[in-house]
Amino acid sequence: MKSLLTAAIAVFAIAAGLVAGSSQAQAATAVDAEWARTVEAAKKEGKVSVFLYQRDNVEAAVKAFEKKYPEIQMTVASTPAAETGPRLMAERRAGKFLWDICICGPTTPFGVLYPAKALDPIKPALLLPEVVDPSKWWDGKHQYMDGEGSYIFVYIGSTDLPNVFYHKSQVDPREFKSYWDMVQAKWRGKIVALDPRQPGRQRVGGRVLYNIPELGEKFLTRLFTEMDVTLSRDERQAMDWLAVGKFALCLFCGNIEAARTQGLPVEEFDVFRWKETPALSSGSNGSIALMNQAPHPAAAKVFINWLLSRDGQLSFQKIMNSDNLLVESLRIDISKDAVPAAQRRVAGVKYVNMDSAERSNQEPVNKLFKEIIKK
Amino acid sequence: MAKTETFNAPAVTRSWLPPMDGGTAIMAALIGFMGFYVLYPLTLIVINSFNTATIAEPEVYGLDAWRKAFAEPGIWRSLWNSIKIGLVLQIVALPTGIFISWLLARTDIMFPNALEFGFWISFFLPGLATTFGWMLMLDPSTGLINSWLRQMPLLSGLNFDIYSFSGIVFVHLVSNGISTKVMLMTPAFRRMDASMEEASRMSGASAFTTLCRITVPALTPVIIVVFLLSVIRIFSSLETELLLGVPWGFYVYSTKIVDLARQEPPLVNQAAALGSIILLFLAIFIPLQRKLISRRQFTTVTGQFKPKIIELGIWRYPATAFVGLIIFILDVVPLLSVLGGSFMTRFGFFNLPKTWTLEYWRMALTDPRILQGLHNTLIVAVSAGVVGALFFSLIGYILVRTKLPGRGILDTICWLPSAIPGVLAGLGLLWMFLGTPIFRPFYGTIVLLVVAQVLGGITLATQILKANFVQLGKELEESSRMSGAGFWRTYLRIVFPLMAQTMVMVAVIKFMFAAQHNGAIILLATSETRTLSLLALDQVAAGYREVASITIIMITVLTLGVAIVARSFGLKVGIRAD
Amino acid sequence: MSFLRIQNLYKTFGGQVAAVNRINLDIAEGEFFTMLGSSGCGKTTTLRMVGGLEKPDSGAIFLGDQCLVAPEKNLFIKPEKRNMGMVFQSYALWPHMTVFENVAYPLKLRGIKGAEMSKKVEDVLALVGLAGLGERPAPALSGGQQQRVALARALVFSPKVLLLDEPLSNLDAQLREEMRRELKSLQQRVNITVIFVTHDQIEALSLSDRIAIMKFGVLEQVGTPEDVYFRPATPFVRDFLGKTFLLSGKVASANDQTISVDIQGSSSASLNLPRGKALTSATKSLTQGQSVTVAIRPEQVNLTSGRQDGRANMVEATLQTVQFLGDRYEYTVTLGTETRVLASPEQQSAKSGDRVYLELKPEGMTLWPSEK
Repeated sequence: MKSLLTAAIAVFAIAAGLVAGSSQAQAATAVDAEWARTVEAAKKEGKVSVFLYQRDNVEAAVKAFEKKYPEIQMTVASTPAAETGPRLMAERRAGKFLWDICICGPTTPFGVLYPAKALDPIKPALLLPEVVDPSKWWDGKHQYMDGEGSYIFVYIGSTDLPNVFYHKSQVDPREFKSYWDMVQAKWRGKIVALDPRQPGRQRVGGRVLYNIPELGEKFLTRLFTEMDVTLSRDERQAMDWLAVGKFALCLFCGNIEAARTQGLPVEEFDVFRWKETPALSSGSNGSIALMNQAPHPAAAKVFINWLLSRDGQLSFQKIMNSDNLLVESLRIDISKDAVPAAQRRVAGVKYVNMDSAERSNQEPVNKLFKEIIKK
Repeated sequence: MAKTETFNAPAVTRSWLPPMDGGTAIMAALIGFMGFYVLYPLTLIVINSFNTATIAEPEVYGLDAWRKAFAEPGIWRSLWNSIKIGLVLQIVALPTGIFISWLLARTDIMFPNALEFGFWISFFLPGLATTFGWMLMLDPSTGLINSWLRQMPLLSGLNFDIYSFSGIVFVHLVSNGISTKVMLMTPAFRRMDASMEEASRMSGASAFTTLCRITVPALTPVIIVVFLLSVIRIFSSLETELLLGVPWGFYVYSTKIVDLARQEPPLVNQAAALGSIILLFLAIFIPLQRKLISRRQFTTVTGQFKPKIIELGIWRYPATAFVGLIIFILDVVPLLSVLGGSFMTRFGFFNLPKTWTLEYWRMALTDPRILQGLHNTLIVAVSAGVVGALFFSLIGYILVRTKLPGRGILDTICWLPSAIPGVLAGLGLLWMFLGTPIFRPFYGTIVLLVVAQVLGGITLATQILKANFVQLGKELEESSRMSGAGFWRTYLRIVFPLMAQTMVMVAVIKFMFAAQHNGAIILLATSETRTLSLLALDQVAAGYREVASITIIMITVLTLGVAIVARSFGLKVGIRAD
Repeated sequence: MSFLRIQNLYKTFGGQVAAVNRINLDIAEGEFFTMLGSSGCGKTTTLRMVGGLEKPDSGAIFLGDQCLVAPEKNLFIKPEKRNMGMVFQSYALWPHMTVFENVAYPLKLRGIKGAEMSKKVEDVLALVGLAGLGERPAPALSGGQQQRVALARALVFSPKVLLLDEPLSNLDAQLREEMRRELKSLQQRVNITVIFVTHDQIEALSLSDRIAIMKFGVLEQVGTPEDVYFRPATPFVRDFLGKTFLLSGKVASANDQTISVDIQGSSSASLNLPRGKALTSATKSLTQGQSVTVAIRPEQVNLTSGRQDGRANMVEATLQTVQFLGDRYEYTVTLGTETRVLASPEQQSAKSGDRVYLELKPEGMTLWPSEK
């Protein structure tokens, strides 16, 4: 099976790269056949199991797969952020290879599964031409989180982080051109932040600030040692405090759309006001990895190709974008209607890519926070 | 003297206890079983604390995790904070709980049953709803009560800050600090032999002196257990402290454990090291309290059963009003918080363009996962309730009523799990299930969720049962043994019906634990075995807190329904107070 | 002047049946007064009302000239203010205290401390025969010892009245006898007024100065032990206290001194009863030919094998069986169609089937309306 697959890819590569015209059609036929065989095998397996980082509508978003392939039944599971690694590793050590796919945040695949050699390269599993074609993706290439560039495929790149919100009657947004504007005496004691040592958006947000070249360690140190930032462990608590005017600024917060719709006097700084380099990040569900010894290898392949296809990405992006979350596919050949216009990626702008191997590393950020957050 | 005549040869050889070899066998089986069931996962946690490798690597053993965990900044302060909360809370809650239990069980206060049930409701209401409710009331700048106080002429100087040490204690007090005590102690007060109090009255003591010097000391075993349970619980308590403590830099021990476990990559080993300290503490402390209780015999229920109600006279109305007010404080805020959370566009915001909405109910009720969640919840919670009550009552009975060796070990085993924060406990169970050939085939099925949840609230359950067995006069069983019934028959025909009320209470509590708590099963569930409480968690993760709170309402209503049915059943079967 | 007076005391539980139905009692100072009856007769309720543990619905209780309770006047003195000692059936020792602490408790409540307290406690423990056991935890004692502790606790503060609620019922037979004797001597030494509740007639008869026999909340008879035993006022009292030998007959004649009764089923028997002793409250008027029952305690019947002339009140009977019981013989006899059992310390020469004669002591006979 594997060799067949490799052969098929080789054929495809040759076909795509060297031959033109009629032979292209020939190659396409070979790919089609390969795809048909995989789908056939997947239907025979009848099942695919996906481990998720449970957030927002991700369960519904991946289960859209069942509509397209009703013969393949889907099992999902999730654990709160950081427990995913321990659970999956414990299962595997006990010989329970239960999961085909992991869409479980940036750090579990990168920090646990990949170093533990629990993943198969995903690159060879990409079959559909529309998935394989790098020109259909942002920056003209496939993005991988791992240094080898073949295990953890990144398909989301959103611009929203680190999420800074403000109270409308306390803050004149025109005063803010740079993140450094937050570190002014007048905002002392007026900033609430979700605790960036916690898993989720706040942790990624912290890492974003750390990795933006104009900010980094220096900015975070000033922010957390001079500004008397109040930390919260609860998104709702932080947002409510902002809404009642207890604080003027809310860092790493979420759910702005809902709050706005409900009529709260809160607003989001749009990303392009900052003069610092903006960041792109995959968020909690923007990367996909293929587990090795997967119980349903063919179905896993079908799922991966479906999710990364135009249809799959369109559907995923549509379902995932909510009041709470901004999700923009790295595919560039699909409509971005689901993403608020002000937050869309802009071609030609240089971004800090948060999902590189280097920037995915949380350790230096942890170390810094241990020093600067004394509370 | 007809009795002695029936005392013929075969009856004499029948032992009071199960025959020594049989009894030892039961004990060995129980210790073996419980040791495996409870100690094994805990041992795995301890072992893991010595694993210095990351979870991605194969194990390497050493002391590194311990060293690093206790070098965490603020770790000792957080431990002291936990102890401080536990102690201050108990100083207030214990006397209040005792006094209310006494009023409900021993005096002619009005509507005792309805009032008692008010405390059950408080116990069953989700703690998070209580915390959010009181945050709305007592926020120092925007709290409703504080705003109201500012408008009052004389009270304008008063301002409560819930984000403080006393705020945290207060929320614990009203969420279940008082209600647990009333629930546990009222039945004990009710079963006490009234002549003890009457003897004190005849000796010249007033009703109040009698309460302080006779009733309370005579109920020492129950009170000690209730006290310890609450203190230990503080070590696994988390949510309130996160919401009310973190904003002003106040951390407790469980926060530190969870923070380490949720580090990236997870520092499970360091979290385990912190958890091991609690276990060590318990392993020393629990045998001590055992000694304390067992030094004296505390039979306060005898065969002559005549509970006598103390007449409060003119104090009857103030007393009723006092307990009514406490229940109001305990129940109304969380109830409003739960309901408000489900019908308000945004809980706590009364001036929105559209303040009220049915949208969340529509979303909750049309969630396709809800039926399966309900189905799974019922399977898990009913099994946990029934199996738990039956099995733990046997343990409680053996602990109290036999002289078999190894009781201390068994008792200590039953105390250990409740002090471990859910994250760690869940990992321990996960490792056990995956590491054991008999469990492994069931991995991923609902069977293991049941097995895990039967363990939930084990300490509470066994201690309630024990305290009640201690109180049950021995002669009631001895007369059964004399009548020719063996150990098992006595247990089933005499002990069981006499303890029916307690058993029902235990079953309901276990049902509640299984339905509401998810620390132990979160790592075991999949979309097919998801219970309602896990569904609520998923809904919170998805940002639909209001929808989640409706799912929690369903769990609460389910539990209360079971409690009402069980209570009426229990009151019919058990010993009546009136 | 009575010491403790109970007037028209009335109490119901739940309003249906009167547990105590308008009883009146006068108890003298230093008297050992017993309330006797089967369970549910209201004796314990009466005792508890005296102690203040129950409130009467109506009536009043006086101690000396102090009114303890009178619902009509809305007057109620709490139990702790009545200065009465009480011993409970279950002893009600407090399990969290030692013997010493149990006994010292009433003293502490009265502000007696230190050496004085210790001395009083040790004295009373010595009085009840528990000297030196003060440091034991209360539940570690035997039943008899617990009973003594309860007694010591009730006596230690020199109460005006001692209330005893079936204190001996939880003891075994031998211990009960021993405690009974001790209780009596203790009461005589301390010279305290005692109200004692029991269902045991032996205890009642042996301990009491006077006995009140209760049934369904009503006093059946109040009198000295001899009064109630030999001269029961009602058939209930007669049958409740010991065995009774009953003979049916008809009144043959009656004058101021003597009543003559013909016994049925025995041609020769005609009994002469001294009128003053034989008449009970149940038999105020008699007419000739009226059916009556003659009752006598078995120990006041003499069984002889030969008829002795010149002696009155002899009844002829047939001996059925004789049983030797160690300290006595038990004779089963038939009178006509009825069978009776008699006991006598003396052995008779008569054998089964022999004709025997029963001699009834005149002063022991009482006359009752005929029972169907």
